[in-house]
Amino acid sequence: MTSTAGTGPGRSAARERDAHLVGLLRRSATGDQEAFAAFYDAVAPSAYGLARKIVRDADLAADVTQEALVDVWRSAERFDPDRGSVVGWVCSITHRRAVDLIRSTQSSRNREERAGVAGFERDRDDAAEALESAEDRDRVTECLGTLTGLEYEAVTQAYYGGLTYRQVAERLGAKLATVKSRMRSALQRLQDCLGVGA
Amino acid sequence: MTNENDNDNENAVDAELLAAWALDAVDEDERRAIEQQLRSDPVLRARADALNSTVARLAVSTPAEPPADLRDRVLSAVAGHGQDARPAADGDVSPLAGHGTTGSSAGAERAGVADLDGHRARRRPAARRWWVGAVSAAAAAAVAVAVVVSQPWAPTGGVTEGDQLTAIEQILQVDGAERLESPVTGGGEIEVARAPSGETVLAARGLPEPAEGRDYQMWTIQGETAPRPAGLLEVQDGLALVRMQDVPVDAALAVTVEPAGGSEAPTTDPIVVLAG
Repeated sequence: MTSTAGTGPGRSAARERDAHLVGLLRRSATGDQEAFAAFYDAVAPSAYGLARKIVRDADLAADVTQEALVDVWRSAERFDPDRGSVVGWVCSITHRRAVDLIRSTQSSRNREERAGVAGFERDRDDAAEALESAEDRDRVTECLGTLTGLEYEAVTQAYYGGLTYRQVAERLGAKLATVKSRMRSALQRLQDCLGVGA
Repeated sequence: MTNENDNDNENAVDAELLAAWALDAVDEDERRAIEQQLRSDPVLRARADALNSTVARLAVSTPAEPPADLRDRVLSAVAGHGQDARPAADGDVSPLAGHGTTGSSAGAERAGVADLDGHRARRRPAARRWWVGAVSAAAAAAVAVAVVVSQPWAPTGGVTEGDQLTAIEQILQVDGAERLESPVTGGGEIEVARAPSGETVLAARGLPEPAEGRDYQMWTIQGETAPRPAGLLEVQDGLALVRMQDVPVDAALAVTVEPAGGSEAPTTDPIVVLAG
């Protein structure tokens, strides 16, 4: 597997950092709490930032992050570096927790949000506000900018909004098949743009 | 790439749904179906990993400073938990979409929630979410559960593994009967056989004696309703054998460690969950 785009000094530094984190995670898997504390320090801002972006409440985001990181501790042994980055793994667990929380409290949230959704418009500011990381922010924003309107809505409403594709379709007044297919084409386009190596 | 697409046509999961899955934008049933397929389909698995890597870039680009007390909360929570080397229930729902965890993370799901109960109760009087998540597989109409428990083999004579085998086999001879088995957190394993009529036998082997002042308590969980007590599990020499009636076929069975005499609602996370 080779990665052509997105290589450069930043990428190799990221790889080095990932190797360090894998080491801490391996030690955590043996019950080393000190290693896990260092691991926490490294990944908590990413996990918390993502949780906060999704649940939009500082306290609930902290709960989600705590749940996710305890999950990480418990399943540290199962992390497979061949499948992706450590931080990505932590974020995927956090994302799942955040989405579970949202869906368990969905009805109130729906009401709250419907007021703020103005049909089919782009809401770039909202996504842009979330992308505060220095290194990735510009690139991710740029790549999100290459998506079509519907692709953009489908990805951001699902990923940052915690909606299922059915809910996205309902909101956008689009067909289910269309929304699914836009999610797929959007991820393909993002993958090409970001140069995500395997 | 073309070949992969062709292969996909033979699969139940279409490529579009896989993208929605990577975004955590599918419902529980779809998620379960996809993750089950990922376990046995390396081509699909590789595509899923690639999608996850892309989605991860969206994820990690939003860092924020966590609250100062969160570090202590997390570290004290893990101090009370060992790693979960063995998932409690194979048939359990995998809660984690993430690469590297699919298929074996049931135990992880139940780790964090208990620590938060007190914390969250102030804001969200929701029931223990773990219980809901664990059995949403069984999501069905909430039917009243009448569980009759008898322990005909205990405590008088002491149970043998032969007794267990016989009792299990009796159930399995019924048409449509199913057998479930899972290791138990803390040691031992539990085997369940149940018939469509609801007649159920639960056999435990190698269970440690509960701590002083504690009992093993069984529960049935159906859909998103609260767990219902299903009696205490009396262990002798690591063995237990219980017969129940009228356990709904779509209910999951769970065991927790409770204060002696049992509780009305579970006060700890389950040490095992068996779901069909």
